Amino acid sequence: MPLKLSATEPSITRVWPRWLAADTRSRGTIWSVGVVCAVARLTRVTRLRTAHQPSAPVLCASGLRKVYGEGRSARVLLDEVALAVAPGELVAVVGRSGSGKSTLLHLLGGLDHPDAGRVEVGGRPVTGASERELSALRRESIGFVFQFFHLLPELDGEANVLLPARLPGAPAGADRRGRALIDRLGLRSVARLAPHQLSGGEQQRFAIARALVADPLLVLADEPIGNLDAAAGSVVLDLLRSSADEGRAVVMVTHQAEATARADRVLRLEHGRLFPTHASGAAITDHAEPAPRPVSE
Amino acid sequence: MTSGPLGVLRAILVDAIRGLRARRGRIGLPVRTVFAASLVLGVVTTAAYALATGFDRAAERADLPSVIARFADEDRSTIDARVRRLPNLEARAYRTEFRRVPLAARGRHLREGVVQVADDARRGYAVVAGRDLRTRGDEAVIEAGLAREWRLRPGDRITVGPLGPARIVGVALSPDNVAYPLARTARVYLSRRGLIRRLGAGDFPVNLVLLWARDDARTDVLLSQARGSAGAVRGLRFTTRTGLRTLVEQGSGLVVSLLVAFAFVAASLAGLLLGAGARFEVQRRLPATAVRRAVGASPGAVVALHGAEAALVAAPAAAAGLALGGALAAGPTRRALEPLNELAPETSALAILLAGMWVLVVALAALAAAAAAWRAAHRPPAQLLRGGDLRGAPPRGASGGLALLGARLVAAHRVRYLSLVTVLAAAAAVVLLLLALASLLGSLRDDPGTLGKRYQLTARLPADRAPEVEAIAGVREAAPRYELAAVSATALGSPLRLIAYPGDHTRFEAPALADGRRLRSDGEAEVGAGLAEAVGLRVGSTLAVQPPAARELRFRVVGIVRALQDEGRVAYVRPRRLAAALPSLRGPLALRLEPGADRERVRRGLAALGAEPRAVGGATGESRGLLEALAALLRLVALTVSLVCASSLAQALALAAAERRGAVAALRALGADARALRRLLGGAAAAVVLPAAALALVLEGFVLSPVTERLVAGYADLPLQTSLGQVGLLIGVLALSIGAASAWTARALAREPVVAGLREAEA
Ligand SMILES: Nc1ncnc2c1ncn2[C@@H]1O[C@H](COP(=O)(O)OP(=O)(O)OP(=O)(O)O)[C@@H](O)[C@H]1O
Ligand SMILES: [Mg+2]
Repeated sequence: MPLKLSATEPSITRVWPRWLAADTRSRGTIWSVGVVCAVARLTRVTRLRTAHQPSAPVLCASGLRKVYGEGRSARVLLDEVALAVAPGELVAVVGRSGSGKSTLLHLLGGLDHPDAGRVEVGGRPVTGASERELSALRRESIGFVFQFFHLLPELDGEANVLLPARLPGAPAGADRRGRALIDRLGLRSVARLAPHQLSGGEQQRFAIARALVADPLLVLADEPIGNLDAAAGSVVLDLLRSSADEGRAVVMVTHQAEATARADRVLRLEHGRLFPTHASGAAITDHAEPAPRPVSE
Repeated sequence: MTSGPLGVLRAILVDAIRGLRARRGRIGLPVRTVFAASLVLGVVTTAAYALATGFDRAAERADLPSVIARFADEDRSTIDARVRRLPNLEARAYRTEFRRVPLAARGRHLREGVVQVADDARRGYAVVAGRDLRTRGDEAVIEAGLAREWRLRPGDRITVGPLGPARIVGVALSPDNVAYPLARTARVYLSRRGLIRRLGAGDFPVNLVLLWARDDARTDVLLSQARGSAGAVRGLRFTTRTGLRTLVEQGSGLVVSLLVAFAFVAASLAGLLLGAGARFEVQRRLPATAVRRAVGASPGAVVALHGAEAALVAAPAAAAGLALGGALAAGPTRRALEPLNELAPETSALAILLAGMWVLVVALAALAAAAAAWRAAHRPPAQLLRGGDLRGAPPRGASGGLALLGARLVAAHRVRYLSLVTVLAAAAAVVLLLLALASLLGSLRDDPGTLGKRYQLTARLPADRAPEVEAIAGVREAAPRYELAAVSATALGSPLRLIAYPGDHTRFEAPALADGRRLRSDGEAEVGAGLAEAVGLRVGSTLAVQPPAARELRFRVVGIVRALQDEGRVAYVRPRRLAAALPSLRGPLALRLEPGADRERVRRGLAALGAEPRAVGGATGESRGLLEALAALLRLVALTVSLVCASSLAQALALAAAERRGAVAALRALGADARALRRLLGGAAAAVVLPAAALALVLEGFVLSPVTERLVAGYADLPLQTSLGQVGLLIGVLALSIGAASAWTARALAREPVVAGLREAEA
């Protein structure tokens, strides 16, 4: 399925699960997310990519709990978090710094194990999956944009983008898609430079291109425009928007109003739970400053 | 906080300790590096020091005389009249030596016992167990080699020839000869006065005198006077302390100097390891250095911090490594020294030496870190912040398999990569050298070639049949070998052997040249070091020989060689003058075989010519114990170097994996599974190991082997060659360890949650 990089008309699926944006604190909603996910499970076919049900959510998470520390110093970061994202939907997650947004994305992408609850992507279980199944899932169905990029410093920008294509079992056509993404994101002139020779924004765009190169069903983007100016940010947002419009599910953590404005739903992470919000950027962010890129050994 | 230099030092130390505490989990690598280097140093320092100084220590302890003179039985007062007047003489002691005295104890027998009857105050031997002789006739002190071999202790009984049983009161050691059974004879000391009383007879003649020079540096004056005033004393033979050392070193010297050479190589390896380790560590921490610089730390502060941290890490690791190395080497070293009648160093002396090494290692580690930090601190912080040791654009091309990607990942950090490859190559080269040495030691036992003899067989055939023998398949060369017993015409009674070949004798016997050159004409001679010592010859002097029933022959000495036959009392000459003086001179044909020749076929060929071949025995036929001890020592050193090799490999993998946990986590987040990680890590390790193996071969073949051959050339003609099998073994072991290590690391990395690696890379 070739990736169409132009913005497309909003798909029907965009409007589908707005009712899910109810108060997650209510038992009823948790229950209903659970039902949606269960139905999706029942109706799922083994490979979503080949026989995708338009109505089945790509991402289903329920009862997610994450605790750091033990005993008295234990800190509940996420508690009973439920979330379902349908194909074609772009969901924005906002919240104070340290509220657990990145942690949530890690759980959704199978990069970390929740203390309770379950996650499914494309009808395939993430929680409880073997490391082998998880690898396949991440390779085929999930694209992750890290808050701190995690480009391999030893490779140039283009090689970083094409990295997923070099893994055994990578989907076909990834190379071509990767080059198209580089052009689309205006990175052609710096494609041969190493990450340490790139600006923060350029690194961020390479990281986004890498997340999209394998044509995933689900895109998880952690502050994808944190380092970008308005113009570059808008290109990235267009890209994420059109990705969703082509039938992918996109979850984006952000602090910026421009980003929330493009989302179908905006959820707010607070006290370990997700709340629906309809407010604009100014109201949803307490700390809009992007976290500085840490320097360490 | 106190000001002044002490305050500054304190502040640096506090800072360093705090930094180390924060990085507790990450100092394993430098600790391992320093430990490995120190272990090697501990082993080789202990072994080399003990072996290199063993003779001097034993000589000191035993109060070994400057000169020992043996002669035909003489009246004690007659001899003393001459000896008393010698210049530079501090003390003298007379002995009577009886040879071929049968000994028996604990059901074991020996024909070749040597009894020395002594009574003077200065003994020239050290009592290492029990006590010395008193004046009783039934007491004996036996040599340490005999005590060891027969498991005798003070209090046991020993039967000394016709004298009958004696009670062993002590065990003695004297480095004027090697120990039984390395020496065929075993020595027993008896008291002269006790013996006279027991036998009820009068005094008996003496045939041995020990002379102590007042000034050891001028022993030659004493010696030449003694030679001059010998007069009618018959069968006079001198042995000097320096000559003894030469002799002892001829037997053990090959391996001792190999070890010393090896210690040198291993010490360089350890230095390289320390330097590379420090550089590695500084490179690894460039970003933190950059932040320090960015927030205002001066280059000096950065350098001091790195130096202090390196020293703090090195101090315990070096102490542990050196102590363990010393402890490991102590046993084999002592066992190697025992057959030589030499003493292992006192624990305290060794401790001082190792403490010195400790200071050296810690200083070296600190200096290497400081030097690397100095270079880093003078680069602009922004450059360090971006990319650390990565410089310039990465190589083009995004294609290729995962293994290639792994190789690129590890090679991108050029400084670290190069230091790893160098260290691994050096370690592997040393292992190759050791493997070659080990097989050499094996061949030393049965191949005389390594000790100067290049022919393997002799056959009783006349000289003119040499061409027929050479025609036999497997025979490379054949020539008559003449050997003749004679005495020195100048130092009367000094026995020697003349050995002659037509043409170039080094084709058949090539004892290493210690001085001068090879002989080129009929009037020239190469003399063994033993003969040169006994008769006082040097390059340029004249060797006068008295063959039995013939006129005196004279040769000009052109070279001194380290011959092992007959304790070096030999001379190589051309046969023409010998044949002229002794027309009846005959010698068997010496046969030099092709490498790997079929001996059975050669034997059949010779049988067809009517001759029976005789094999040349290894020159060290009775030195099995010594060789085994030395081989054990070499094995130990090889083992520690292999440990260093393994630790370098672990370092390589740490670079590829644990060090790059963040990168591995990112790859896993992109969908790389354990299999993909295995390929990646395998590629990274191969990128280190393969060039290292190639470099190791070059290093061994063109640097280490030639250097070692040169260093031991004074003792033996060493054909150090690494066999294909050994190279294969090394590469196989390396490949196996790459496979195992990458599989293991991949498994460990694939087990932890991806996010752990990501968060670590972020923090
Ligand atoms: N391994 C861990 N152990 C203990 N606490 C952790 C761990 N990982 C994350 N945390 C804590 O969890 C909290 C949430 O972290 P997270 O990265 O999810 O925040 P965030 O919402 O993404 O913040 P930001 O907007 O600043 O990126 C933080 O307070 C952090 O200290
Ligand atoms: Mg975050």
